[in-house]
Amino acid sequence: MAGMSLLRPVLQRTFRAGFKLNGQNGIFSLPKLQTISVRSMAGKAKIVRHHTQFEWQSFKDDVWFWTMFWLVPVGLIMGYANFVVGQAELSDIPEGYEPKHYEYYKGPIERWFSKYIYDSYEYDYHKKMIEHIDEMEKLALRDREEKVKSLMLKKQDCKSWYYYPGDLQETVRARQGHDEQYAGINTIRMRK
Amino acid sequence: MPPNIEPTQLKPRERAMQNFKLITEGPIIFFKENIINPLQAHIDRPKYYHRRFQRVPTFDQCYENDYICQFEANEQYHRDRVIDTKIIRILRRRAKECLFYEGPNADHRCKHIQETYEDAATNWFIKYGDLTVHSNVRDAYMKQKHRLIFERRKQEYEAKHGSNTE
Repeated sequence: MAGMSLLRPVLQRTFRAGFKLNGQNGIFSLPKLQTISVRSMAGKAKIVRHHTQFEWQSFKDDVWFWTMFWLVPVGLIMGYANFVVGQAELSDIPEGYEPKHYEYYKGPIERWFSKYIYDSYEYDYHKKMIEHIDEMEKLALRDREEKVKSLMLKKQDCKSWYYYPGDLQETVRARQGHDEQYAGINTIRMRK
Repeated sequence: MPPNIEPTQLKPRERAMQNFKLITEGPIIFFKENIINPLQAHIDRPKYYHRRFQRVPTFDQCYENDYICQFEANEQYHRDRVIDTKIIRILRRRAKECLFYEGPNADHRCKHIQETYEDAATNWFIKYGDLTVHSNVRDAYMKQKHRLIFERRKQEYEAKHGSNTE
């Protein structure tokens, strides 16, 4: 209760100090762009008016952030690979030893990729071989098909592979049976 | 190649040109020898090897329907082509360096290397010349066949009618 009675004049004073209403400036008011009379504040200081630096500063922040976002991890990986692990040494293949597929590369990052991500040289070789064989077999089959077609066209002695040889009497009998079955039903109206 | 000369025998200009390397590469050499090599000295350095390819039958030894043999012959052909191209480059570089180093004496000092290079380039062109990038071993084989037939027919013609140069 005593606090409440003291609070009101404190609030009044802070309000007047912050937001002075009779054309005067308070602490929280925006500065008005108008000419001000220069006061000699201890001789030489000035109130400098300048445009905002917000856009420029935020641009610089963005540039730094997005470059470091990639540079730092990549730089750490490269530093570890080159300074700690190091490049591989060239040496002769020992007798009776078959090197692994990633042991044919010098750089540590190259070795890692070859080991965990890419297919080995031998696997790639076999993939290409299989593609080549498939295409060559298709070529041979296409050649043969074209030759067969041209011969059939030329000689006209082959009934092609859609023809099924059949009995004519059987067809006639089947047609008669069908007509007998549906004799009473008027299914089609033909124009006379 | 110019011979190795002791630094004390060089003139100031040549010594300055050699010391220029210290300015451009000095910090890097210092960094590598004093900081990185001790860091990596305690571990077993990884090893890498050069790939060894076995010789497989060439294209003329393959049957017509043996696609595996043809594919391997083609791969071998491309590997040999790359090696031959690099050999030509080395010879060409040596001839150029000889010319540059000898200057006025090039006529009689560089004859051997130049002859070697010309012969090698001619042979390379006979084997691989005028074949495009997408050529394969079959194109090269056919080129050889056409060349041999041409030479045979030319001989027969010249035996009959005499050569053009006479």
